[in-house]
Amino acid sequence: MAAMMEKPRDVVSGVVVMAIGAGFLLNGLELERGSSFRMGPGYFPTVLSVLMIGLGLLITVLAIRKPATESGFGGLPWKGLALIIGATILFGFTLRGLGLAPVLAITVLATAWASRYATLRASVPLALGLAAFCAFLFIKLLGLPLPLTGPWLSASYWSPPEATSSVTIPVEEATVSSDPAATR
Amino acid sequence: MELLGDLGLGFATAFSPYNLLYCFIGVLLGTAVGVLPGLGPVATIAMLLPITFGLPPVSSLIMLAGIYYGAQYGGSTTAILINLPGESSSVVTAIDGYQMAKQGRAGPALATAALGSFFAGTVATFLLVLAAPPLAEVALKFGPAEYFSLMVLGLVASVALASGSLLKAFTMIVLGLLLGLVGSDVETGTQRFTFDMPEMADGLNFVALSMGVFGLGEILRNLEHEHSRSVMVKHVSGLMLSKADFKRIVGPVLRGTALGSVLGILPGGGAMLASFAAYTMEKKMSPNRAQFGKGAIEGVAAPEAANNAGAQTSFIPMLTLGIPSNPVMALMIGAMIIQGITPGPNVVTDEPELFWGMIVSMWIGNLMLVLLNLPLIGLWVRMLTIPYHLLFPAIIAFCCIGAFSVNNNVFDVFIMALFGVIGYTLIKLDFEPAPLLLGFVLGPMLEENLRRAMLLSRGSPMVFITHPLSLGLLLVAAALLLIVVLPSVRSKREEAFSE
Repeated sequence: MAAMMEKPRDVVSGVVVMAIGAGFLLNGLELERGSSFRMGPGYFPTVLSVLMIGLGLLITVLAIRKPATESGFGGLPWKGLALIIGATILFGFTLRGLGLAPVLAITVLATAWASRYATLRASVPLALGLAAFCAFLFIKLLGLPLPLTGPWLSASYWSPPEATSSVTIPVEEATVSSDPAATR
Repeated sequence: MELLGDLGLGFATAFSPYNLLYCFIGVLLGTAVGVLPGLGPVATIAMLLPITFGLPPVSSLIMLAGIYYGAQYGGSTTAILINLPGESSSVVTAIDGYQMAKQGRAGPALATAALGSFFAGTVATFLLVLAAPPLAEVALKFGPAEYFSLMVLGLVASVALASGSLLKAFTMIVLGLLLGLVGSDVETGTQRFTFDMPEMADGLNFVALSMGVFGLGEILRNLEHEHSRSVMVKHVSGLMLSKADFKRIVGPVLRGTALGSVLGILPGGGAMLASFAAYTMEKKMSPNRAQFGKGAIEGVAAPEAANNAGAQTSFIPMLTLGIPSNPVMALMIGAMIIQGITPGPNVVTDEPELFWGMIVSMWIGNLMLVLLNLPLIGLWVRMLTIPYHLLFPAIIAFCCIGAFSVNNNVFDVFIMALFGVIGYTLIKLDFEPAPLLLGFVLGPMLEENLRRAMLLSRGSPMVFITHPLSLGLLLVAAALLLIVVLPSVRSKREEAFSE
């Protein structure tokens, strides 16, 4: 019975592969296929999609036919998956607003809890230390065009809009006028 | 004579203080990631790719190459000392190396690994010098049909020689090829699979994809089997080899070097396969075969020589044909493209400084590793005590910044997150994601050459058979596939990988 439970993994694999192939096939339908003489942009993707579906089918059929010996899925670490992927996406959404240092501290702190050995005593210094180190390395040494702390953390961002707009206009003028001079 | 001039150029380039520094940083980082289990050269090179954009192409490639072969050294140190191979290529070194360490012979084992690797690295580098330029010259005569067949052979061979299910590895290649087509079509400019997102017009970002699959995906895989490491290392003393030891390792090192050099050139080969094959061969040939598994010095010498030789010679197809033989070489090709260099046979003639500088730097790097590794063993061992739960948040932080910095755009961070999920799903479904990267890199080239070949032949697929070179390459590919599928070889192959 245990063996029966272990078999579905390859069946699932095959179905997933077929689904991916079908997805590419459907999405590529509107692309012009052309002929084998003059291949259009859709020719090669179609060939590969069909190949993919065929491979998925083969994997499924073989999985159903062969005696189930391979191990099962193993546990799914939902917490780790949610924390790590979630923190990465959060990093993307808040990077510009919060600035590199705070975002990094949050990311490191959040992902650290994906481990079952995480403790506050270890993660907080790690988060702060990494944030400081990366801010120094990437902004000061490598010159990444990112603010150390972003506009969301400054008081003027939350005050009425007229205050911010009057600040940005001179900056724009300055870059426009200096550009041609630099290239000449 | 021309060779001497070229080598002179290489020495001049590699010995510039700037490049020496980057070579040093590369091998140092490489050794570090080799020591640390759970962080491999693929993820490290992917993370560092964005940082190298600002460097001159030569320096950046010298450093990235250093990480790769440096990792081979580092992996063997931990394999010997604590029976924990830092890299897949040093798995077999752990068998006899750890036994030697338990018997108090860690010093000779480490010295054997370092000297064997250095010797193999030197020989393989010379092989690279001798073989690469003529090979590139032949490749220059290739038409689109030949190129297409060559890439098919490369992809088939990488599947045939990899471990695990053949069918699934093949599926990963096709998926990689499909993902490689995302973006604007080169010839017509048509948007393909971009879902009308302007950020996708240039295709999926290579760095974001590889960091997602090999960085985030691997972390998720490692967290599943997380356990705390307690490291107990005895003091290492007596690095010198006795005369008797020296005599015993000469044969295995020579054989390992020869086997590793050949296997490294083959697509899908590289360091890991070389070390497995060398150990198996030595076990059958050695007069001391009874000692294998109980601390035979030959069991350290042969695989260590082989994995380093394989790591060096896997640069040959990458530098001369522009075809990656493993994921690390795929990343190197990605790095070249980002630097504005078109990989392929033209590199030898158009970028002699890069080509020869890189080759010479590999030899210098190997020398650095010998000088660096033996005295610094204490430091490397201490690095092992860094627990994984402190290491992986740092990796994620670097991946996030790295993905952003490619285009200074957070879109690539989201792509990385997406491929983290995809990579982990693939691992869960028992797909080894490495071939995906090869397909991804080769996808656009494969399509372009296919289209050109068919255009030249007016739509007749016979062009791949009537051109003798193309036919030969396809026949080799077919033969490889046939051999692997044959039941007798299949069981042997499984045996070789399970050992």
